[in-house]
Amino acid sequence: MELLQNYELRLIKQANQGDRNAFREIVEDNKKKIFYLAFDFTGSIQDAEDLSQDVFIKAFRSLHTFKGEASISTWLYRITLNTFLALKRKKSFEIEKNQAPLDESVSADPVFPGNPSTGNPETYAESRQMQMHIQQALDTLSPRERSVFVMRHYRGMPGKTVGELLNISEGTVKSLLSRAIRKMQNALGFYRDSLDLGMEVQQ
Amino acid sequence: MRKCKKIKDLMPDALNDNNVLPQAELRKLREHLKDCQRCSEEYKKLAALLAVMNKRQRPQMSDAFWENYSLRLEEKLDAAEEVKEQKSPAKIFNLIDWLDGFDFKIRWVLYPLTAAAILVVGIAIGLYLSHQPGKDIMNTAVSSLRRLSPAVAEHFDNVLPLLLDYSNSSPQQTGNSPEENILVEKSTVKKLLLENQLLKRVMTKNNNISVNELMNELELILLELSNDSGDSEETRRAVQRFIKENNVLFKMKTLEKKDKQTLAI
Repeated sequence: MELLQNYELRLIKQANQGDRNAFREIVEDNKKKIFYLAFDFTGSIQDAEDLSQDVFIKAFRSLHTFKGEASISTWLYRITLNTFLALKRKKSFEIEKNQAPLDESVSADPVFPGNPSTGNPETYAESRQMQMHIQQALDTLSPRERSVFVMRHYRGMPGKTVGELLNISEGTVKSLLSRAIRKMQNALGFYRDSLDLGMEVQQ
Repeated sequence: MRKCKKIKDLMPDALNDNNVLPQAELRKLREHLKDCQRCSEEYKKLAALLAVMNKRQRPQMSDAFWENYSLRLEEKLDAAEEVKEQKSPAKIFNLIDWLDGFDFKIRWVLYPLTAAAILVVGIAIGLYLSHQPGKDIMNTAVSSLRRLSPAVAEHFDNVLPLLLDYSNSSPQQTGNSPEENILVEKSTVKKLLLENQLLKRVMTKNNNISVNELMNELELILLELSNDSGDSEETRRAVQRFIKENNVLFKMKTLEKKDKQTLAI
């Protein structure tokens, strides 16, 4: 743990002194984590790329503020969260699903599991439909509810850490999570009633 | 019921694939679910929801994408650095962006603080300018607040009831003749006209544009009334229209009000 901390502090120090290679290393270590977190927040590849790259640009500019109290990834999570919430607040950030990417190399035909070329087309169609409904359920959440749900449920972050990242109490994290769950239960109610998910509830 | 609330709070964590709930808490939850039908139902509903949400798929990006990702980021970083260098002298214009960089709670303190700081600086500049002698802008402001001479104020007091009579009179509504509505003697009108002409000459020297303009309009009205032989309906309407179109009453009241305010200062 201490080794990792020292390694990260050294990287930050070098990057802060203008060493671009050190910053590249930080990017390479974290780009997938931050991109997929941004994807969970925005729901689109193009927006995830824009948001995650904004995060790295902000991080680059504020290297001097990193004090090593948390890991680099936690620091980047915080910047991702703040950037996402700020963008939503400005309303200049539209989540456009199925939007044609601006840069062709960005599209690069991302492979979702269950691609028709690799599996049963019917299963693929069902899966696509379910993905659409899941996305719609996530879109019913406010930016803060969505942030809490993504970090708490998809990332498994402790409530305390989520609260620290959002600067809210653990109790508020719980209530945001409950509200998010209620909204998604309404949005996905028909799955619960009509689909056999083949799920065993373990008690 | 309180126990149910606590148990409900534990449910999302119990269903989290990342084993975020400590074993002791998990045991407590399972014990409660055996005894509480309502919580058990709730737990099943939540499990069904999260099972659907856990089926969410994320795109598997190709190696080419990740290579290009880093290249695109390098380009953006270079561009951002260039923009930063160009913009650095005018950082104040990025105030909002800068504030947005802060955490959610801190921002709610920083926004009003920044607004208050801007206000204080604005007031300080205003006070500083107001104590600078010979500034044109301040002279203009003082000029607009310059007092009417007592004679002009008295003249306005004399003319105002006459104009009010004309602008409010309506023979069609009351059934009275114009003569009954407007009981102003010709001699009074002539006296007011003469007074207006004399004061106008004095005020022209004072270069008070708004007062001069008003006195010109009053002169036209008084001339019309003094030339009219019998307070005809036609004259009444013409005068009424003139008063209305030129906002004569409003101007008189505004000037008198301003005059009183200046006197109070």
